[in-house]
Amino acid sequence: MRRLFTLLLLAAGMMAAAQSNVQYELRVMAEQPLQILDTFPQPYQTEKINVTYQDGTYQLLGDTLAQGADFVVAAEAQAEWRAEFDSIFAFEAEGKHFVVWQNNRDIKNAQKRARAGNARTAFLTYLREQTVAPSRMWEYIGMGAAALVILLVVLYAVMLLRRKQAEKSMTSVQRETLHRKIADRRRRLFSQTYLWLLLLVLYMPILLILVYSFTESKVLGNWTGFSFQLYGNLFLGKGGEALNSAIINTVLIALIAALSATVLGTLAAIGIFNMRAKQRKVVTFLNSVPMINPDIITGISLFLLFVALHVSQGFWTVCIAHIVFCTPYVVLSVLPRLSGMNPNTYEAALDLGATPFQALRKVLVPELWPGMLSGFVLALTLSVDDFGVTFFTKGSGGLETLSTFIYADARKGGLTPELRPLFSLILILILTVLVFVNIRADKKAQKKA
Amino acid sequence: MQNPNCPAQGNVASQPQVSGDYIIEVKNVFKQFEDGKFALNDVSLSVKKGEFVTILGPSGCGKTTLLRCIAGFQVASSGDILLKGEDVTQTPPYKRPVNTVFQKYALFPHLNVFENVAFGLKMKKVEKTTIAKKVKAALKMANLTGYEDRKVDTLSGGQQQRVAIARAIVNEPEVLLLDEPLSALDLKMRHDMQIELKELHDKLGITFIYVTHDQEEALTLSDRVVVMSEGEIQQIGTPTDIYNEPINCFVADFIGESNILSGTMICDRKVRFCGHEFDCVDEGFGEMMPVDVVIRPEDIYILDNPEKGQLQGEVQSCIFKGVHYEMRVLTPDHFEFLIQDYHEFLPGRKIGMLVKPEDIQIMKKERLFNTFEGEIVKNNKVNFLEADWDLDPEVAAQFEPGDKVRVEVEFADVDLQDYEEEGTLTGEVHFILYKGDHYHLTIRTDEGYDIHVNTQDVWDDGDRVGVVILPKDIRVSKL
Amino acid sequence: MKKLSDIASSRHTWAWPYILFLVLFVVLPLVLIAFYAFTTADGRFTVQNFLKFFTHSEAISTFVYSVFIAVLNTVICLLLGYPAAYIMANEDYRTPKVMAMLFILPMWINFLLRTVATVELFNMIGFKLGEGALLFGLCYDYLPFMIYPIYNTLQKMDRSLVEAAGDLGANRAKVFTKVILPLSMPGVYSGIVMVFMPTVSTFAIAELLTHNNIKLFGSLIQDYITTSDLLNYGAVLSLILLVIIGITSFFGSTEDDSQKGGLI
Repeated sequence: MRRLFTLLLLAAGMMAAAQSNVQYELRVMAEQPLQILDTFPQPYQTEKINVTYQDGTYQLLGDTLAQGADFVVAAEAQAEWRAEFDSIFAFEAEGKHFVVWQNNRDIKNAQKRARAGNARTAFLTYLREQTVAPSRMWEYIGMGAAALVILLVVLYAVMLLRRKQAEKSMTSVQRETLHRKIADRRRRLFSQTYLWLLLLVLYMPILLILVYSFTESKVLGNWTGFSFQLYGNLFLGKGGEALNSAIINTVLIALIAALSATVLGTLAAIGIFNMRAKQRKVVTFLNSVPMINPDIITGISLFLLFVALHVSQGFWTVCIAHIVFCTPYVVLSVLPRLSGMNPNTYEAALDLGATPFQALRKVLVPELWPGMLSGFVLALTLSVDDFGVTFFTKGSGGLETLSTFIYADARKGGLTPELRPLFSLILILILTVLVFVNIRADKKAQKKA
Repeated sequence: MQNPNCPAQGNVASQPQVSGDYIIEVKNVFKQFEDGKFALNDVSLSVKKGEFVTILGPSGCGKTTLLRCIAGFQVASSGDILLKGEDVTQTPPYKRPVNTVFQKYALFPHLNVFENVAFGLKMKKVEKTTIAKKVKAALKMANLTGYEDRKVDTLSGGQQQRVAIARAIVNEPEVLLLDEPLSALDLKMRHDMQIELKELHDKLGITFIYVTHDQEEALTLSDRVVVMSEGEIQQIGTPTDIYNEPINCFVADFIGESNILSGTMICDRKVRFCGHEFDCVDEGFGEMMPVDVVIRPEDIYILDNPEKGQLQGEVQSCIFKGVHYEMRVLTPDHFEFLIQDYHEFLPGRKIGMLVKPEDIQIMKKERLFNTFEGEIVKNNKVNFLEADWDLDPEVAAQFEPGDKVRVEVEFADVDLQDYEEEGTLTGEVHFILYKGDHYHLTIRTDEGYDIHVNTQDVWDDGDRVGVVILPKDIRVSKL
Repeated sequence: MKKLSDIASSRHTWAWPYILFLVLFVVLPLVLIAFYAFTTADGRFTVQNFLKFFTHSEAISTFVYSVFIAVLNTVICLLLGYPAAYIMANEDYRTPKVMAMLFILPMWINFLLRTVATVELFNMIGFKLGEGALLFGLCYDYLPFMIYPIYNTLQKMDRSLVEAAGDLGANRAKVFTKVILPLSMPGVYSGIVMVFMPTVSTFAIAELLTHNNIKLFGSLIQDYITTSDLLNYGAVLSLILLVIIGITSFFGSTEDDSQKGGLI
């Protein structure tokens, strides 16, 4: 664990060094008016390409990136010099300076600064924000960590000395108790540190998403100032048509699958509970198959089924597939409620004149409700989370859920920025729900005790 | 039928009516489970209107199955169940005019007391104001006034029991079925509830069918007791009949405590056991017939002077039981007697014992030895109870393989082994009867047959045993 | 008149729709994998697909490599996860209750997004994508699945057993090796199964974490299945994976109450 931590510190140092190099290289910029070109030079992406001039006006270069790229490449071919840093590169051609932004969202900032006066200053300021600030950040972190380590060492030394002093005036029994206490404390400290470090590593990528949901930058790791812009975009549906439909599909599929799974699974659980041992064993085994099967097998097997039945795949095949892997969890959530239930309550309802359906509605469902609800929530999250099964059953009709959307996005080499606020929100929602549920469970346990 | 609002006058209902109109008739009911076991084996029972009938038996004897067949939760494999002369064997429970009080109450945990009691009336779509009135009356009858809005899980066991009863009687059923309703309560509470139940029965005047394994409860509450064992009815009778004149060893052993001994009926009114001849009041068993003798512990009188008693013995132990002392007395012939007496006789003391003729209950022996049907197989073996047993070669020589034979084995000749694998077949101790100087065990083999064994060794119910019978002890005769 | 059956046994019919559903959408599709594996593209019986696998060196080496990576990942997860689960379950360490929840929480975030974030993290700190990144990413994705079942068994364990062992003279180490470890084995088994099975069959994660430089068996299957004229060969590969899964789950079937069912 300690080694991992050192590794992280080392990495931080290396990065700071690498970035100061880039900064140095950019000093060759000439003192001439800049032409700011805004584009997104990633392959396969269709976007309108604009040139933004110093006075803040746009010029449309073309509809496709290829056209924009052509323009840039043609200009770059005559460049007298070029400089590059991270997502920005600059060059001078035909006496004009080009600066190419990778990030669509930076136009406004650049525009603002361009209007304010000297474009070069604007660019340099921007670069400073990009490079100096992060490198300083790592420096600070490194210095802070070093200071912390030194402080801890000093404190520990002082503590050790004082203890030695104190031990001199102790009986052997007292000393032994103290030693045991210290050993216990040390063990606890050590174990808790381990847990927290493990958690830190586990959460780093998630924290990354969370932190970078508050900036406009197109790429992760590129801090362009605090902003709620991405959240705004997400809620106003400005994240792009594809993202919007992926969100809608995900929610719809999750709701349909979770609802059907809850109904089917609850009935099944009641049925299974009332089976004889041998029968029950067979059905519980069948029920566990979709849980044991990895996504890829479930996905492929269903894909083959739909191919064999000549069913065209799309929204509804994905729904069915999701019901397949969600229902077992509902069954497993409801079964413990059933065995915890007084076996006679259902009979009591019949005895008091309720028909089987009335007994189900008025007695069974209210009693099984907590199990059904947790099954439903579990099914919901499983459905939202699923990638493997969806991937194989969504067909070629262009249906995307969030998972497949992210996959397609990541394959292209980028991540739609609006996904960051989306998943930050989901994370916060889940955290709230979990904390709430746990607090309630704790309270209940306390009440019982 | 009685309305719970206006209790019946007097005690009319508690006395069984002599007329032939039965409210419930169970006719030759069999109930076979899917594993082939019979939970009910040819059970017939008639219950008169207003009677308090208790079905009594150890767990697994089929008493609850019988009740559930009457309620409609289980359906008889064959036979008929009649309610007021109408065949209801195939009627689902929600259409039967009976209501059940369940063992663990089975209250609806998501409803409060009022809603629980009102459930049945709501199902019948009774008008709201009527429901309120009836529920109030039922709660009053169950001493639960003021508890309407309480959640059921905040109530004590006794209160929950009352809610369960109120929930059943509010529907004014013809018959109230009670499935061990008091078993979850502590002793003190159980006694109070017994009295309340009895009063409730008198007030309502409806028929109660009450299932229990507690013999004291059965004797206290009922007009008639039905003793069941192994899916069969052993005896039906008033509590006094059942206690004083048990029909077989099972009933004698199950109801109250008793000394059960093997004896011989010498002639009418004369029986011999423990090496002594006793006068008794029973007749018609024939001469020199082996019988079982039952003497209740309180029916043996202890005399200071050993010479004056019919039997002599030495006190082995003496325990104070509150009202009386309970003593174990050993005779010189090594018969052990359980005796209850108001006086204390300390261990080691020699005493005499006296039994009055009318306190000796004689029962015909059900069997004198084990009898099985078998078949001679090769290698000097005989097959019975689905196992091959070695035979004395001389005996085997008299038969051909394939011969069908009757096999007889004395109770005392069956050996039980601790280690199952040492036995020719294996089984479980199923029923234990102490007969003064030995134990009479029933071994249920894994294949489901019974073997009866006399042994001096102490076994516990449910012990796994291996069964061994020596070749010389197997008597075979051609069928 | 229709013969009425017992209340309890009649209710087993309520499971029939689900059983029918299971047969149609679970059993039949699995049978179809076998069917496609043993037929040619035009539906005739053949074992050619299998022969192809055994002479297809890329497939075999990918398979072996995938199993190796899965085993390695399972071991890493076990080594990292067991101490964590032990510390959380042991009351002596007074771990806050919320800790267990925090370890499970990442499971609720879309794993692809987590993977992409990991990739970005590696880019940020300049860590080269490849085998190391793959192992880190896999471990990161599946560690909670190792911690949770072990934590569950350890927590359910009767504390008086530990006290009894101490009472009988066992020291801390002995208590752990002789009592706690053997009793937590069911949790360890199910943790191993829950990590090994998804790892050996993973397909998208490897692609993202290695810039498509390292191919795992799952990705290979994905390639063949999505190419329609090689579908039958893809079925063979799936069948082989299915056999591996079957064997693993057979070994892990000793304990099944620590499944994901009780996460909330």
